[in-house]
Amino acid sequence: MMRFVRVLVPVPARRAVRSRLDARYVTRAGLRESVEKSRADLRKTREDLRKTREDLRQTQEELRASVQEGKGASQEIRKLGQEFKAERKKDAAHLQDMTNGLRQLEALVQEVTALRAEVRQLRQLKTAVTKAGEAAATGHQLALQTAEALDHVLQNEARVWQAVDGLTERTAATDQ
Amino acid sequence: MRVKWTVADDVWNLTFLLDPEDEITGNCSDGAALELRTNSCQIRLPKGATNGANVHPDLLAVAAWTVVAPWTRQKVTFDRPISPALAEVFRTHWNVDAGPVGGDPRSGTRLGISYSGGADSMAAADMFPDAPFIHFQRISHPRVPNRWSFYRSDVLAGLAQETARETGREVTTVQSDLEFLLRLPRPGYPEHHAVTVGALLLADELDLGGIALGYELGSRWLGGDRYTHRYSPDNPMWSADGKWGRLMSAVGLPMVLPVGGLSEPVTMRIAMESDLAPYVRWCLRGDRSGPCQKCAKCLRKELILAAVERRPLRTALSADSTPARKWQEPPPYGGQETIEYGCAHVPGIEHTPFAKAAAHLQATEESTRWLEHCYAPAIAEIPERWRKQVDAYIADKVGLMTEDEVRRVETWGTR
Repeated sequence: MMRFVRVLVPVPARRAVRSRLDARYVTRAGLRESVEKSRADLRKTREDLRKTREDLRQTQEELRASVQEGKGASQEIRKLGQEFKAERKKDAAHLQDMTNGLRQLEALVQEVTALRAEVRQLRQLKTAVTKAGEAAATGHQLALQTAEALDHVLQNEARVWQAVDGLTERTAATDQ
Repeated sequence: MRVKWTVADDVWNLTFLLDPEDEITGNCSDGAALELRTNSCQIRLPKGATNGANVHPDLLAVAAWTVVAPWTRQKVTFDRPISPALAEVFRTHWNVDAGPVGGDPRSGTRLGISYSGGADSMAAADMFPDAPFIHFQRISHPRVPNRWSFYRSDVLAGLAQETARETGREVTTVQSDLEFLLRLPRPGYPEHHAVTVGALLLADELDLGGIALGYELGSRWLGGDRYTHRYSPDNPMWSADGKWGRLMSAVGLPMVLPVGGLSEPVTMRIAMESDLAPYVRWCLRGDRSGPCQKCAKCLRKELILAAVERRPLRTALSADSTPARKWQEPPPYGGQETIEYGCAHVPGIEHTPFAKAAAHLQATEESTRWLEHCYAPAIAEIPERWRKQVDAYIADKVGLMTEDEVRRVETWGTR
């Protein structure tokens, strides 16, 4: 029959079936092979387990380290937060400073404007003072000249009375 | 010259009219050329100071004469009769016909002091602690614009009043504009004796029998200031027998020069040691706060004071400043004996405005020692009733000159 089958069934299919049929029938050698294979598998599994544990421990350590790191980070964050707050406060002060500075600047601008006005006024005043000084000098000179002139008038008055008296005397003498 | 006095409320007005031969130019008794400005002035006595117009005519005549003498050539006619004795002095010592004549001479007993507040009159005042002061205060003339307002006669008068308040001395201030009668050289006394017009008008009220003045050795005997630079026993202004001395005596107000024999350094020392010292003031320009320290007078007096105190000169004035100008010229100087004393006694004089004068004068402590003592003939000249007091004071505080020192006075200006 087999021969028959062999004739009727193409080679590839025949091979596939035969391999199936072979597998169903385990031989001793096959069993031994299988046991060893299982042992090898077990060894491999153990090895895997050990590796896994190793991994786990490593992971745990890493985790612990991470936790540690996390703590550090959180501290840093807190610090950064504080710094940020301080910075913000500083910023506020700075802002206040700037505001004050601005106000002062405004005041200065006003002052400069006032000073400019004053300078203008003083310039006008200087001109006025110069003019007044000139007027005073002229006035002083005139006062001196007037006083000098008055001196001569007063002197002449004395002389006139002297002449009048002399004339009166002479007239009186002539009359007699 | 015709003189007329009018009075109202203790203000005496003097008006004078020139005779044909009179002129508006003339000379002071010291020889200085003068020019008249106007012919009226006033003398203001303190309110109620006199009993109306009852001032002796001789006093009025001499008061007027201190103002009109330079312009009068031959004759003076007063508005009330003067005593024959006074008329006689006018004739003999002035060659002036004065009248009308009539009435009795006057006399008095007390010594008054013509007190300026400077060191010299203060020294004189120190010799007579009970004598009343008469202070002359310049006021403006109603007809003359006052261009000399820097002259602070009000400050000086204030100091005189303060002296009265603080020391209890009797002080009478008399105001007058008579200095403005002078046009040239500048306002001032036509005759130096015009400073006594107040004493003359008040002589009867105060019973004055003499008037003390602060003229010192230089002015009286050495012909100092404007006068000639020579020994001047015959000084027409201040000698007892000179024309002014005789005139003042004739009206019962002989001149007394208590410090006539003392040099300026000595009067300065006496003044500074006197109880009046806090009120001393020679500066005519300073205000109430003190002397100006900038005028020629301040500079000169500082030299004397520094010499007396034997200390360096304190002045901000430099040699090229106007007040120091005359000390850059060679001598003679007015009051040269004082400058010599100063130059000899002020340490570091070569660094002061007096450096050049000091180099010219070459004075030493030895060569100026005579100035530390009194010239005795000056005491002999003082009327007898006050002579003893001066004599005692000088013996106590100064001492007399030796014969050699006397010779320094009497040969002054000849070597």
